[in-house]
This record gives sequence, C-alpha cells and structure tokens, in this order.
Amino acid sequence: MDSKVIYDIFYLLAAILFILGVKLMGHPRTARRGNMFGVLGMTIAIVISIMKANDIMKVNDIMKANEALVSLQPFTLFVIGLCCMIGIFFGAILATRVKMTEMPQLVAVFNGIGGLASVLVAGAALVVATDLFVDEKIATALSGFIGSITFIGSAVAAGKLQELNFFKKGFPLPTFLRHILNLALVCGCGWASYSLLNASSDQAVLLYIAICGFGFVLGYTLTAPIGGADMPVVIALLNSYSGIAASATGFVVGSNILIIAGSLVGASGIILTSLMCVAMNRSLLSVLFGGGKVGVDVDADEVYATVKRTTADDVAMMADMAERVVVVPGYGMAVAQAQNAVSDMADILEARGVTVEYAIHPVAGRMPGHMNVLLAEADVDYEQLKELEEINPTFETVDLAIVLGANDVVNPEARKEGTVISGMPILDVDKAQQVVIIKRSLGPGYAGIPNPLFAQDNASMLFGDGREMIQEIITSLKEL
Amino acid sequence: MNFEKRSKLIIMLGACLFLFTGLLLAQDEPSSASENVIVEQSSDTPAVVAVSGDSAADHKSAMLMAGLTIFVISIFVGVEVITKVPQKLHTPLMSGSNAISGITIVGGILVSADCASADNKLAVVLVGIAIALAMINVVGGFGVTHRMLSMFTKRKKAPST
Repeated sequence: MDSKVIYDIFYLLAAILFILGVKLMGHPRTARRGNMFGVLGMTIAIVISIMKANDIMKVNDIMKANEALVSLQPFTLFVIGLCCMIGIFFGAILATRVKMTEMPQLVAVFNGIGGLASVLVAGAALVVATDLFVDEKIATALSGFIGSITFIGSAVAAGKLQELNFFKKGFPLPTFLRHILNLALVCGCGWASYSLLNASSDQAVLLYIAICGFGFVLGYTLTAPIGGADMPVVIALLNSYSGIAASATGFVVGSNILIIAGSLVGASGIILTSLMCVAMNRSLLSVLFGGGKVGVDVDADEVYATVKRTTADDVAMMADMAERVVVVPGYGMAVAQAQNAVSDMADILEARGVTVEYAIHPVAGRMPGHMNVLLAEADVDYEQLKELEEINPTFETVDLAIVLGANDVVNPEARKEGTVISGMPILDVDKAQQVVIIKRSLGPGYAGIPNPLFAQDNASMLFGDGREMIQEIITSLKEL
Repeated sequence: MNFEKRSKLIIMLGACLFLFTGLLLAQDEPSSASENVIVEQSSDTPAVVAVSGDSAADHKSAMLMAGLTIFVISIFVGVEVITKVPQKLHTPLMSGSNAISGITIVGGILVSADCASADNKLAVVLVGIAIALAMINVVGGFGVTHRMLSMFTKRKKAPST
C-alpha cells in the first residue's frame, strides 16, 4: 500500500481517539481514561507527522542531489527534535508546578500559546508556499487573525487573573471610542486579507504580518476592558478561538487531523461560552462590548436595615444540630483559600452524622468548573458536588446553608423584574431553613446591587475572612 | 434546555454558512486555476495542459470540499459529545481541549518539511518555535488534566455514618 494512505489511516485513528477521549470526559469515573486516549491519539499524530515530513524531505533530497544542493533534512530533523524536547520540558514544568488555585491563568496561557503556534505555522506556510489557492489564502489570513487575537487576548486575561497591576487599570478610552477603534482594526484586517488574495509572495508576507499586527492590537482592546467576573466567558471563548485557529491552519497545510481536532476544541469552547452566558443571563455581545441591562437603583441601607450578625459558635451549634448542611462557595472561597478548611469542617460534621453537600453555580469563580477543581483538590468527593438544577428543588429540606464568598449567584432579586440580574438562574439558598453568609462586609457583588437575602429572617451574617471564620467554626465544633 | 437548542441552532447556521461559502469558492476554483496554468505554459500543447490543469484544480477543490465537510461534521460531533460533559468536569475539559488544540504541532512538523524543501532555514526555525509552543500545550495540557482528574477520582476515606 502507498505509505501516504497508511499515514492517513493512522491520522484517522488519532482523530477517533480524540473524539472518544472527549466523550469519556463526560463522567468522572471514565475521565482519566479519556485523557489517556487523548495522549495516545496525540502521540500517534506526532510520530506519524515526523515520519511523513521525513518522507517529503527524502523525496526532495533526491531532486536536490541532481542539482548538487545541500540537504536541509538533518538540520530540520534536529530542529524538530530539539523543539519537541524544549516543549516537553516546559510543558512538564507547567503541568506539575502550577498550583490548582492558579488554574484559570494556566488555561488562559495555554489558549494563548495555541493561538501563537497557529500564527507561526500559517505564517511559515505562507513564506515557503509557491502558489496558494484562494481558499488557502483565506485560511491563512483567518489563522493569523484569530490566532493573534487569541494570543494577546489570553495574555491580557492571564494578567488580569494573576492580578498584575498593569492589567488592573482597565482601558483608558471611553466605550464609544473603543467601538470605533475596534471597528477600524477589523476593517484594517479585512483590507489586508483582501489584498492578500491577489498579492505576490513577498507582499503576501508583509500583509500577513499586518494582519497579525491588527489582530494583536485587537486582542488587547477587546479583552482589556472586561471585568474579573466575566472572565469565565472570556476564557471559554478564547479556548474556542484557539481551536478554530488550529482548524484554519489545517486548511492551510491541508491536514484533516488539524481540522478535526481544531473544530472539536472550537465546539467545546463555544458550548462552554454559551453555558456561561446563560448562567449569567447576559448575551455574549454585552459581555464582550459592555453595556447590557440597567436596573432600578435600590438603597442598600434600606435593604440591609434588618441584617443580623452571628458568631462562629452559633454557626457551629446550628451545623451540629442540622441534618443536612449545604455549602455554597463563590469566588470569595478561592480568594480566601478556604477550600481545605471547608473540607475539614465537612469531615467533622459528617463524622457526627450530618449530610454535607456543595451547591455549585455554573459561573462561581473565574473559569468554568473553578469551584469543583478547588474542592476536589481539598479531597471533597465529587458525589457531594451538586449542580444548580440538581440541588435547587431540594433547598427547602436544607437545615443550614453556608454561603461562602458568593453574592450575586444567590441574590433572590434575580427572580424579580427590572433588576440588573433579572432572569439569571440562581441557587435558591433563601428557601433553606437557616442561612449563614460568611463575607467580609455588606459590599455588593459584581452586579453592584444589594442582596435582600442578607436581611432575610432566616439569614444571618458572619463577617470576616472566609478561611479564618471556617477555622473558628471548626474550633467551636470541636468544643461542643 | 432552551439555551442548548439555541446554541446548537447558532452553530448549525454558522456551519451551513461556512459550507455555502466553501461551495461558492470551490466552484470558482477550477476556472481561475486552469487559466493560470494555460498562461504559464502557453506555447506548447495548450489543450493537454489545460486538461491537466483542470484535474489539478479539481483535485484541489475536492480536497477543499472534503476539508469543509470534515470541519462541519466534526463540529456536530463535538457539540453532541461535549454537551454531555457535566459542569463539574468543565475545567478538566478545558485543559484537555487545550492539549488537543496543540495538534498544531502536526501542522508545524509538516510545514517544516516544506520549509526544508524550499531551502529556507529561517522558516524552519520559525516553525521550530511553533513546534515547541504546541508541545508545551500538549504536554502541559494533558499533564495538568491528568493531575486534576486524579483529584476527582481519588476516593476519600469511607463515610463514617
């Protein structure tokens, strides 16, 4: 059989392994096997590619030998090998050293790296190509454009998540001017892409650099103004972009495995993006470009007139007497690094016959699934982590709900008309028998509105740092 | 699940639009390509060259169509498979798909052969950087996913009740 056919069959095998791998990711028990399928698929794809590249170079060397040209084959193989080693080295360091709390940044960095790799591959393909067809040129332009937006956009997102000062300032231009700037950049890109279609190869490279330049600036102007709580959407979207960029690169180099794997990632990112948007009840456009619903101003002092305070001792007492306790974590838990303390508290309560569960809102934290990862790291069994649809109907039978650093996702105002968060799905914490909210102050959440839950009859506030308060509760529990 | 339907519809529409554009492009292709070939080799046997040019262009547009079909269908497969992933596994899903998007490494390796054939050392080095970056994605992505999933599947001590 023709060796090319054999290679293609192996590529198909790799593609099947990727799809099966993602499918197995659907359940915690099979997810690890799914990941292994991915590793296997990727190993096959890489090995086959090196063999294929070697074949191409061999054929060319025979032609070159006739013209007495020097072969670049050893040099290229050396570069491939060396770069793979470098990549493995740094990849392994990132995979083993990064803390679980830094996961959102790491995912953002990976998105950006993927985007930049696509930019470089498509660029190199353009440099050495002799005659490209129109569709290949379009794919090259797309690859450069999407890839460069992904690269800088992810860098900005990672900087914001790492809370670097440089990215804290937001964006200096007013919204209206920002839209004009973005539009101008997109138009510039469109012009460069259009010119690329009819350009000679030297011009084409310059135009490609221009496209990437526009993309880089656009990546910054698009992501810089987006606030922290909208980061889950941004990360999911950039995830999708990095896949689409890989897919476009697949059209450039004419490789089906790139198209398949890229579109798989693209689809996954898009689905996560739309899930996040629904969970925040905002449209993707309002997340990306600002604006959105405006609610009626409510006087916070009036809402909070009947707020009650409680102490760690009282909470410990309530928890000890309860049959079912639900912890509702939010970004505040991640900030206070309270996950281990929470897990310890749950252990003590369970030892005394109390059922402990965790209610996780889809957008709690800074990326999809953030809370689950933190709690899993703290040895919480995944069976105890409940999703919104699963736990909401049962809140009436919950004796004690402990809200830890969450605010907007438990705000009952979302059920009313005419507020900023109207229609957003929330955890029905207010229906629990007793609610304790652990929070530093009565300050508003990202939505900027007061939360009537805090002042409800069955609710009381425990003011302080999340981890310290949980530790105090643990101390009191032990004394009981 | 209203949002699921909506997002699926949007993706379907986008995919159809993409396929449609591709069809238009593919129809456009043969004429312009065969013209090029004829212009380049005008003096000798234009008829034969035109025919061979046509078949080359046909091959190209067939490849494009195949690529587009694969793209659209694998998006559908992706949507079907991924909507079943539960919320608690969303972060491992993201880091896992990070690793899969490191597939660009295949593109990099294949292009590096073209660069070597074109005697362009600079391009080889450029692609080398891309290969290293994509490899970071692959190893880092799969590695961190494995680490996370081990935490998920690790059984805690038996419940004491």
